[in-house]
Amino acid sequence: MTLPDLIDSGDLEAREQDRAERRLFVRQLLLILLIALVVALRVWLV
Amino acid sequence: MLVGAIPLIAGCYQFLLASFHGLRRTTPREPFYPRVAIVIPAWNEAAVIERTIEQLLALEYPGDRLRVYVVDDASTDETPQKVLAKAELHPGTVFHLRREKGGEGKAHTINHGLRIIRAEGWYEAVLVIDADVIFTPPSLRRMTRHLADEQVGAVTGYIKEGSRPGNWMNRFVSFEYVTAQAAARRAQNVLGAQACLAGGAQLLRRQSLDAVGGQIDTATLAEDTVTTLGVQLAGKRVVFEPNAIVWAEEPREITGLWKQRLRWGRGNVQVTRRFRRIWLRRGSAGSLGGIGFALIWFSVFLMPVFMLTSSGALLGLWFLDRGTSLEVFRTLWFLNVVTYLFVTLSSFSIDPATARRTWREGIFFPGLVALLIILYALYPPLFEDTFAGWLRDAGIDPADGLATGILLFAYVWLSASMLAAWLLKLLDSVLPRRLRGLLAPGIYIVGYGPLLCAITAAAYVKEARGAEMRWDKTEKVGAVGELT
Repeated sequence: MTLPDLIDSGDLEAREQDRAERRLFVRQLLLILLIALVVALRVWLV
Repeated sequence: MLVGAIPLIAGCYQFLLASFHGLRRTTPREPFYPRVAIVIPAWNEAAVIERTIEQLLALEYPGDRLRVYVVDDASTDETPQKVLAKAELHPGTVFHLRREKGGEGKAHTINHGLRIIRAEGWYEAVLVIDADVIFTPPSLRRMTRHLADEQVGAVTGYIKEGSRPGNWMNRFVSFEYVTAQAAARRAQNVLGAQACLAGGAQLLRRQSLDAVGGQIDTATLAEDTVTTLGVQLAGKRVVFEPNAIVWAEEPREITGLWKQRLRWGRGNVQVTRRFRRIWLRRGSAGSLGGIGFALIWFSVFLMPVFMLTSSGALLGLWFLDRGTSLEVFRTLWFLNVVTYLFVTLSSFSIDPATARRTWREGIFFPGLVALLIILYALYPPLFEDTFAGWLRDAGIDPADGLATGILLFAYVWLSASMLAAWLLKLLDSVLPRRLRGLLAPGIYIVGYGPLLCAITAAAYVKEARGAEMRWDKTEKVGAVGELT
């Protein structure tokens, strides 16, 4: 791979990796909501 | 009882921080290709060294900015011949550095290489790796791009267990690495304080290597942690790059894991003592001295103490006030339920590829017994009504001594599980190798987490006794499979 090729692909790749990290944040947010629901159900049922 | 809750709170805190990684950190856009000298300490690595070198030569990195130095620690197998053959094929790129008098340990071997590399003066960054690790093609350039920022002194990658076909132990380690690396190190990125550069992938800027004395620490068994803390105390940041994936071969049996982790555990005891002036001193130690970093560090380091204190307190309370003890027990274990769900499901979310392969080990990480207690804490009527009903139908009164016995067993399980894990280790060390697989169900029942806790407790004992510091090399057979 030549240096210019690496430079072009590096920028695209970094953007995609940041998007993946933001998707992870959204998934984690949903997970926290799900766990909050489990806690609420437990408090309500027991 | 609050002590028992500390590791649970720390676990949730860590995964919460990891969730914010994408909002707090931005991947550097511009590539950066410093001249990198790769140092590979090698003692009898004939089974793996050729492949490791080939993978390094196949990295997506300008060939004229990469040199591979294999520091052969007086190997008695075919390591020198294999490395020399590669050096002949790639003159000026692969170098064989031989120590005729070896056996002093990994850190001394690395230092031999560092002395020569520093004397040559060609390098702008040094990458210290293990002889068996397989760097994925983009991994190094994903690490070096962080060095474009002058404030970054060192970078580490994401070490993943790569044995193929992996056995049950390899799958437990795989899952553990999602929590201990992919999640924990993301959290530490957010905190701005890293506990440890993974020993198999430590990229150091030249100035940072100089700042820690130009060599690796030889006085402790955790030389990578000492380097990591040293770089940060010298004013530079240490960064974890989750997309720089490096595959490694990890132990396949309890005894092998015990030996490896005992070394790490003893190293952590030594580091905790050596850096005693940084804990909770934000003024002088920056982020390393923050409450968050101390919580993460000590929740792991003191885990056996937390487990023992928690069990002891529950038992003591039972003698004083049974009703209150039951309430406290339920509350503590309900907190455990929340932590277990958050940590396990987050790990699956952070690394779905590993989760697909290791979901059983993720679920059974705390062990079947702990899972039953978790189930009880989540929904007590399941046991108090349903199971009790089944017992009554079978002619057993659940209110008699049996119920009390089960309750007390549950109270002390946090501590007893460490003892059970230690017994499994003893069995593993006396059984013939071909029969050791029979102990696998034992770990699923007792838990891999308690096994790690037991090793930490054993590390305290070894250090307190002042046992000899030996570098017990983890046995490697070249089992890392074809991975992408």
